[in-house]
Amino acid sequence: MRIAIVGGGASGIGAAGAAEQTARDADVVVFTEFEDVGYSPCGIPYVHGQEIDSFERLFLQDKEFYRERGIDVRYETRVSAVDLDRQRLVVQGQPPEGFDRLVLCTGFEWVVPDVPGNHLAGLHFPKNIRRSMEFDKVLDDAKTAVVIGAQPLGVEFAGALAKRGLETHLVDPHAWVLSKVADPDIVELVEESLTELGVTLHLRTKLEAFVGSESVRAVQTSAGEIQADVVVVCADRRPNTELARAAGLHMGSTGGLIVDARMQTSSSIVYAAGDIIEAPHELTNIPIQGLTGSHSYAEGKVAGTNAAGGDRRYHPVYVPWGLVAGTWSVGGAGFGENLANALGIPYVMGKGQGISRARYYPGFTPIHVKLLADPKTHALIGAQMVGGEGIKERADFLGMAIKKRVTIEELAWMENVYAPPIGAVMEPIAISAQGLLSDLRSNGGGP
Amino acid sequence: MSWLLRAAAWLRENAEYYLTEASEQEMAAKYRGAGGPVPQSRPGDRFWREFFVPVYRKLPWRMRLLAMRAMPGSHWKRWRGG
Repeated sequence: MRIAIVGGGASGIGAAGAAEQTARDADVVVFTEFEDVGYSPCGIPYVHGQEIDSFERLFLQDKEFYRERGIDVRYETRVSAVDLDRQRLVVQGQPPEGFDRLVLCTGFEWVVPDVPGNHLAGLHFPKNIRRSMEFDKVLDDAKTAVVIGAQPLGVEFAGALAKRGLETHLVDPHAWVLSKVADPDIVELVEESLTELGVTLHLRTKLEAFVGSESVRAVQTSAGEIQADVVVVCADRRPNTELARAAGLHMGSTGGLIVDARMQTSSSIVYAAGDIIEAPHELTNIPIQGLTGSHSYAEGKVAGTNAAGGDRRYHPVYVPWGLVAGTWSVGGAGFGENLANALGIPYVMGKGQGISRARYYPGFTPIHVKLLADPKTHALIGAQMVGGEGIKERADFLGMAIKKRVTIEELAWMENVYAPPIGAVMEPIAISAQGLLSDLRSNGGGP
Repeated sequence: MSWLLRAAAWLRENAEYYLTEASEQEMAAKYRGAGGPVPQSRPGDRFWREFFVPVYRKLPWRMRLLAMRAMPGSHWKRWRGG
């Protein structure tokens, strides 16, 4: 059996490994248009910020590793079309390649802002590690940076560039940072810390043009012109579905490929995973698109296993998320207040504050927790948090709690770890849940 | 892509944008006493802001959910029950 995988990111490499493990005698071939596969693009901002000392640390394995495992990686090889009838890939400048099963993992692409000057040199769209290495050298001589887009990657970039010592400006048309994932009350501390790091926030500010003759030297916004030695653009992204569309595979309303729990597309011989697919949300059964690297990797494993003749299933998602933003960690799972309000999902909401370690143990930080629950059943439907530490683990836990329909009553009186250096007597999640229950009792609410 | 899928994608994109814009305005006012996002200028702005958003918000949640689930997508495939 010959399994072709197009794309060498988290989902593509996950698919290749799983396919090779599932069918040891299968011929597994990965096509990538880039120079490398299997690295962590999510780590790139932290190399720019010099918290990670080299880009090499972001590679999971070297090229020899894939050769030894029998995975044939074709670097700098562009697949330009898929011929499903003849089960062949059209490869630019090379003879066609046949396949028995195909896994599409072509990832995402940045949307180039539709403004004057969008062709100028010096605009950096962070994605490929080699281009990031080149960009990093430019940073050595740069003094001012503008980051377009205050969503997760933009906020990570702004923090990193400020830590690197650049005068950094963060431009976004929304009213608060991380508006697509977090609520305004949750990110207040984040915004303060970004400002303290030296990031100038330009919120409610529209990008109007990139200014320069050949290379960009400034950014024109609705609030004026900002000088820029470097410009990082991470505003909007979309699934890179060009190959899939041309092959006639079915797309959903999100613009992502329609797949089932086995990651099978509308063609029985084609699977897909990662940023090009859409998956249903656990709570609403409405498909969503553009999730995290961990989702991509897990979906890739499922796609690769099934393409190789195995049987593995993915599940509807409830999207635990988190990041370091400024000097704080912020994260959550399920619905935030803004998204629930936008969709019109009924909810009750409570907030609480606890601490990350015992109150007498040095270095404890506050943890703010906001919980959303179904007003009738009191089952948890969403959570958001900001704190100095312990956010990631709580986001994972709360994601599973949402999945398992855990109620506010259960969270309020949950058991928790108490150990002075890592956890306080009172768990912040429980404090928040107790606060919500108290509010509900005051208002006469009950499940 | 069929006309149905194109129409669904168009509806979802616009509905998502205008419902989020309206919600962000409310959240910004509630927590910051400030204005919402800078509005994008899109074709049919007035229809979406002055008709679609208020009408959507008047519908019961179950009806909104049914309408969203009626769109083509991965949720039509088998995802639950093994």
